[in-house]
Amino acid sequence: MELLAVTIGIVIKSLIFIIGMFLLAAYLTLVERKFAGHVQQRPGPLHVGFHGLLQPIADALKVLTKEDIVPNFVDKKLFYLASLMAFVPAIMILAVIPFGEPIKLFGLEIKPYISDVNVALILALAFGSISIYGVIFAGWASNSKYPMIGGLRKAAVLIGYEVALGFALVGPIMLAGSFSLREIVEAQQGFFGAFIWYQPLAFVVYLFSVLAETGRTPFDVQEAEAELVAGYNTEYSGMKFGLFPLAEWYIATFVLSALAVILFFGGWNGPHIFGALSPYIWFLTKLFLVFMFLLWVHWTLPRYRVDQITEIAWKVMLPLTFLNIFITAGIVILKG
Amino acid sequence: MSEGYFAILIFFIISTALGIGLLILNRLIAPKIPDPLEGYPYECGVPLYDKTTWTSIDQKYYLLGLLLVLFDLEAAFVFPWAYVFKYIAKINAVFIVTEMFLFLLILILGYVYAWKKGALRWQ
Repeated sequence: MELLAVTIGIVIKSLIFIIGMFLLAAYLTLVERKFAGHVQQRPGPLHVGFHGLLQPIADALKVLTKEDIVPNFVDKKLFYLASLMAFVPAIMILAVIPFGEPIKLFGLEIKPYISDVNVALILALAFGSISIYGVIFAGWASNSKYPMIGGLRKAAVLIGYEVALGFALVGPIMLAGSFSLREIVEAQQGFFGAFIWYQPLAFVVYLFSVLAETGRTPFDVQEAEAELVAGYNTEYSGMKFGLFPLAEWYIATFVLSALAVILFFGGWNGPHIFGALSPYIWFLTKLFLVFMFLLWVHWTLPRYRVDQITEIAWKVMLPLTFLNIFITAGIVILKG
Repeated sequence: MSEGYFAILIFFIISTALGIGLLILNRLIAPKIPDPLEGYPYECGVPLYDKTTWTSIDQKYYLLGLLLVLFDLEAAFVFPWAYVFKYIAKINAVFIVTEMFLFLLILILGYVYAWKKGALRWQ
């Protein structure tokens, strides 16, 4: 009986999180398109609803009612599996991200996270790695030149940044002495307690890895429009296609920004100036700032070549993370 | 603690079901108007001359994959050390620092070797 109650509770909470993430991702498309428009001195979506406010709904309906085309020579099972493999791991990271401390409401303890396991950071890294498969499967299954090249390039780029990201996260773990994201946030009390002051190198590497992992512009070789049409999802249509940008550009970027806030900017810590809501307001404000920073980079910088990107990953980012581990060891011993 | 993993499992099931549901919904409500050319792989307006791309792949990708296996395994060994570093550094700082830095030194030696051999170059 108790198991049933727990299960129902988790199911309801998961549904709230997933549906909330979908609505948020839909409106993040509008934010991104408006932002991109104004960066390029054009208004962006304007006609569907007031200043394009209904545009995400129109887009979702359009994607859902497009014909579901499967080209002739594709590997059909992998072709469908690829879009799921891109989408599911991206949203799975959301399951380990805490949005605040547990609160008491009407005698019920409400936890603003799905689960707080003690290996949350490792799980987040693992899900991030699995999402590479979606891209590779999409490129391979399409059996067409441009998707194949796009998928391979993305795999090569991600491999490099995956390693650098793994070593970069060693720094925050050493400072906090924990893999649990909630304990990492608890370890960062006060303005100068945030890990960004001790881990600037790790943060730079993390930022580069997020840009590479979510395929944003300085590193978007996998879908360089001018050379590869649309990269690994060229052959996709309908909702199969819709899941790729949804997962990669919106859900993954949102979730990895949240992870950046937790690891480097002290999560929901901040002055209690908004009363009971202040942890959530701080968390979402920081998250939004990181997200907008990523958009800013995306829409202003030109693209690197693929050889430059992989060489930056191996020859610059990796030595930086090694250096960071040595520096962090010194900091931890000096702080006692 | 096991409740946490149970929650993750349920979250996984729901998100997978949602992804599959969206794909099925798309198939159900989208129109199906077959066209002889719609199943044709994308090509820039010329007849297709390679039926398949499932052929051999450039060796540089293989090399990168090999490096990933090597360095990601090393990272997996560094994580537990990072976890306990703060606590053991209070008791015996010299021991935990030298132990790991010997390990990292060997790793960096391998890294320098790979660099000098040109394995990190995009060729």
